[in-house]
Amino acid sequence: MPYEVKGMDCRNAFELLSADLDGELTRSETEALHLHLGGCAHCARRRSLLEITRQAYRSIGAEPVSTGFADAVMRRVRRRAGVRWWLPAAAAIAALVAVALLREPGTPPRIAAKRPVPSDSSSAHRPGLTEGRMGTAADCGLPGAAVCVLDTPCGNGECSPVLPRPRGI
Amino acid sequence: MDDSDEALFRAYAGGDEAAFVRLLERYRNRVAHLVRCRLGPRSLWVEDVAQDVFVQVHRGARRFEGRSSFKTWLYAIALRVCRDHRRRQRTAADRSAIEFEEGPGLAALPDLSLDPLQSLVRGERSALVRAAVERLGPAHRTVLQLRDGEDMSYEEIARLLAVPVGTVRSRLHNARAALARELARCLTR
Repeated sequence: MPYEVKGMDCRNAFELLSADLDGELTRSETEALHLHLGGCAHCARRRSLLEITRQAYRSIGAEPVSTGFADAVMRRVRRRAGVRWWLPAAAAIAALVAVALLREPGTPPRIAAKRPVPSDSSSAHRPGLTEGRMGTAADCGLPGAAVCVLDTPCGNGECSPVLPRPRGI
Repeated sequence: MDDSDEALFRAYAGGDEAAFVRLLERYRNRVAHLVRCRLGPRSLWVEDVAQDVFVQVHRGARRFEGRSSFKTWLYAIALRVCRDHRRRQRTAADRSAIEFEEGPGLAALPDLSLDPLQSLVRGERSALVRAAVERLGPAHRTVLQLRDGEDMSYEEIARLLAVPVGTVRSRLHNARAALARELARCLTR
């Protein structure tokens, strides 16, 4: 039988029961609900059902984890801490080794990437140049030239030295 | 010495590893229980994910600003780690469970009385309640654990789950009603 007192019917009361058990209702909500419960056996029974359920849940504790749990966590934490320490050091060492390998003995560091060699190497140079002559930046006109046919580097950073071709060939 | 969570965590942030071990021992079962609530009681990943939580706590120690309690911060990390794990492992069954739980309206209560529950001996009662809890979805298990297992306020739970307080109120009510139904079902078997 639906029961309503001061605007609080069974439906409204039902919605507040759980929060009432937790003491999470406002004062006015609590007063209205308890007024309703005083006259409604159906809702009072529902409240006790929720209370038993709440107590039942509270009676079960957390199941224990396995015995090695804490050790496993500490192993992982220490492993991470170890990695954090040596990772930057290893990166720095690797960078130094890479620089040392790139650098030939007796020459200044040359890290710039090689540019593609034009398919027709003769077109990389201005006409009129002769082998055996000292090259200049102006001589090696094509920016893409990687290898100069002159016997010394032209000096603009674009060319690599090659040996002069033997005469008569 | 101050034995509070916050004092231990401050000591740990200052380099005292023993303080971290004490927090770990204090919370390991509870964190694993919360993880079990999220992943499901039969998940094989519960302990692995719970370990991940403490590794994350260790990694994020410097980010703890003390604006919330240590427990709230720890559980926020636990929920985030579980969410990431579930995102990777998500199954169709999980999705349907979530949709069901978030449905509108408050869940009805069973007609059957739960009085017989009180007469069971402690071990039997625990087993029966655990079996009933296992049948709930992750959202219901989580809100029950945070409120009835951890005694957190609605406000704290709302912050932790990033939902309004009203949602906590109705979700908790639905969870208890659903648990009452499952308990009644278990008792009549």
